[in-house]
Amino acid sequence: MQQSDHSDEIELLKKELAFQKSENEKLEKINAALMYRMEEGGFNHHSYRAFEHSVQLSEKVSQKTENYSPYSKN
Amino acid sequence: MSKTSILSALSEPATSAYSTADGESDVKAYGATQACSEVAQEILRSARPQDIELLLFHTTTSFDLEDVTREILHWFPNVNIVGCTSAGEFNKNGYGTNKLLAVAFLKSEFSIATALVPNLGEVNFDEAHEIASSLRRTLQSREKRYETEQHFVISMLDGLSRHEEHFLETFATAFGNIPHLGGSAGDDLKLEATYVFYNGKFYSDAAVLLLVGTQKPFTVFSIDHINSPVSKLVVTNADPETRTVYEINGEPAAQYYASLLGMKAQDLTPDVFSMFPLAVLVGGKYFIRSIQKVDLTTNAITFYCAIDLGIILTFVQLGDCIDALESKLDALREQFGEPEFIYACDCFLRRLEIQQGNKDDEIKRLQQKYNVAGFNAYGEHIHSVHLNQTFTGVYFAAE
Repeated sequence: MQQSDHSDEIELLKKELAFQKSENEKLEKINAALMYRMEEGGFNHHSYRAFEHSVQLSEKVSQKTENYSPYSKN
Repeated sequence: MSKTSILSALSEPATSAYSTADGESDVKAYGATQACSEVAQEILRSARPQDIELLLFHTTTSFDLEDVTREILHWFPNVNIVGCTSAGEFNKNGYGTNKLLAVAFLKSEFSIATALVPNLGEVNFDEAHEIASSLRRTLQSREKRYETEQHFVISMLDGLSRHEEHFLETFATAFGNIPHLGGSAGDDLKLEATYVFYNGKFYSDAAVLLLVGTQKPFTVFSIDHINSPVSKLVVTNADPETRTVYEINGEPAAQYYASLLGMKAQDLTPDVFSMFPLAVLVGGKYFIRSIQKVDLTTNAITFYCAIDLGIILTFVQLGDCIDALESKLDALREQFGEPEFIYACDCFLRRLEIQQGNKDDEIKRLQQKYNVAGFNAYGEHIHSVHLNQTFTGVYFAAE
């Protein structure tokens, strides 16, 4: 009986280990992706960087057009 | 003649010829010839061709595009005509699909210069500055009223070119602080080919730019209806060139996205994408990155806009689409006066979302109240930013 409990426990621990290994692999992938993004993402792929830059430019146009709109009643 | 200086007309939907079940009658096809004739006659009831500064049209790809070209040129001789294919067309009569919409801007209140930009991926800053300068010079040389007009830009481009971000960023500095709105051409969700129309021809891998001058009060705007962020996801494997994400949080992308919704990857459709979008946080603001399609063999997700490895996608909860739009339009009315017309580039995913919620009548009420016309786009443009799932337009106030 005791031996059976022990082997069940080992089985559970094996499953838990496999799960944690899988989770660790995912976290390593997330770490690697975030590090890539911080170090190289802004330069290697023009399109997404262009989008981020456009958001900054757009803010300036929005502010100017809102501040100086000749038609605003307010 | 009508006093308004902007006219719009929407055709009936395209149909093929067929016989009724009882075999007693035949239904005739409704094609480009009928559609162009219908919208042309409606517009020409209020204006002569020589009164039209520019005709802007959006057409379903269900119509034969060669027929559209022939007919639109026939009805509007010597008129500057531009346009693009679409994924839905609308005016005050409500959302439609498989239709053709035409909008005529009259010379009485508009001066418009246009340009074609081919080879979207190769356009550079020098070319952009030259095109922008050329558009300004065209208006300056032609119109005495140039100095007293206010200007804005409308852009339309090939919605499957994958060059929107590059194009918009390149032209941002060329146009400086001129307000800018636009939309990416669609093809009725077929994802095969999208086109812009310029100088009597349809073009792919190209954009059309309009520099619009008017003394009419206007403002350019964009509205989304993102309510709140729900959870954060990291793109862990992707091909930015093709806008394809293979892994999210270290798991197969489509499977992971579906699992968050309690679904299977094979259940993912544009209807689902419209209701459960992903967004990125840039400069303190969320921007939806719309999903174009999933590939079940690779579990990949392809987007309508730029993505990159290591970006953080946020699962966002949407608010009420109609309420958000009505609040925005009411605020514009308060600020600028009663509406005369709104030209809009409205993401096709919003239409899907509204139609799934059975809110057609509610959006039609707003389209009528504000006299809205435009097309369902594969992406929207506001001041150089490529957007998804927004309503982006220009509000013209009655004087």
